[in-house]
Amino acid sequence: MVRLDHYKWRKFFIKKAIELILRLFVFILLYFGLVRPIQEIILGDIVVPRLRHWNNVENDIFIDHSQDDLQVESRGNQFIDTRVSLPFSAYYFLAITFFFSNQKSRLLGFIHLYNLGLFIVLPILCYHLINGYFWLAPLINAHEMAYKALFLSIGMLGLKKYFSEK
Amino acid sequence: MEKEIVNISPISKFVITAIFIFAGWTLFYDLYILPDGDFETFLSLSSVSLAASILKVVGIEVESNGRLISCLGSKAVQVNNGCNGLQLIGLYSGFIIAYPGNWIPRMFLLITGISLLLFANVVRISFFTIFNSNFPEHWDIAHDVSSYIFFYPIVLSLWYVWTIISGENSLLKKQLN
Repeated sequence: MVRLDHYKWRKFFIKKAIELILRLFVFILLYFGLVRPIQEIILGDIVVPRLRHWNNVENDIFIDHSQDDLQVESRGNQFIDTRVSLPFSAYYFLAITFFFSNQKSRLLGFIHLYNLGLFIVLPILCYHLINGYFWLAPLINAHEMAYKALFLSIGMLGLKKYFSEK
Repeated sequence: MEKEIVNISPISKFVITAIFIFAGWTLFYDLYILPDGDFETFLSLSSVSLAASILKVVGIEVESNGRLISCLGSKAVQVNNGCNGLQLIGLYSGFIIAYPGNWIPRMFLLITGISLLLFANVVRISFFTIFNSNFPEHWDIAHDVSSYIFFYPIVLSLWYVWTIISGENSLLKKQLN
């Protein structure tokens, strides 16, 4: 009986592990092969030129992008170096990878809506930052770190749920 | 109506608590710890000193001075404030504090995790010292990916361990769907 339970558990675990590896493979393929290159193009061709156009403190503020991160820095150290990632970042996709399910989930709905909301909020914050509202820099950074850590945490909950599902 | 507002679900409570801790810690770090610099400087100097000791123990000849450490005759690595993994330690702790569970195992995991992350940073500096003496042209790549190799596996493993040993399943079973 014990041997049978152990056998069943091992079979269950191997099945789950293989499925998880497949999910991670799809995540890597989808994110690094499609989403991230598109985000880099959006940042390089649209976001950075637009922000430079809006920039009214021209000599001091440095605006560029590194991979999928927008960088806004002050040469005169008027505010702390600020990094902003576009909505639907790697952390979003990682959380979705672990949470993916055919069941309806309120938490998944929150994740999608939150990222959609960032399309409105982030440009407003960046616009005001580069127009002299430098006190926004620590808030943008705090949001950025909280966003990444929160979505990693949600991914962790998804992983736990995934392995506890029969 | 009033009852609905007061009784927030465990998952909502977790998300709200986590956001406040993560954002609060980052603000505290950016606005106080980093500009003040004393604690970061202490961490940088002691990490370099420990990394030099470890490398000497394993038979690698290194020289260190303050924030600088290098293999003999090679380019040095400089450990600046903000490069000690301190911000990540705050984020690691945020999850452990926000996720429900008993306080004794929580404290144990907090102390263990923070110690492990500080030690991982010393190992990371040792790795940089050796890497920079052999492949200085690839420094940027090594620096960029180092967090994912040295810190994230520890953070994610201990987070997962905490979700297991906390004995808290109601958050997952009842509320996620």
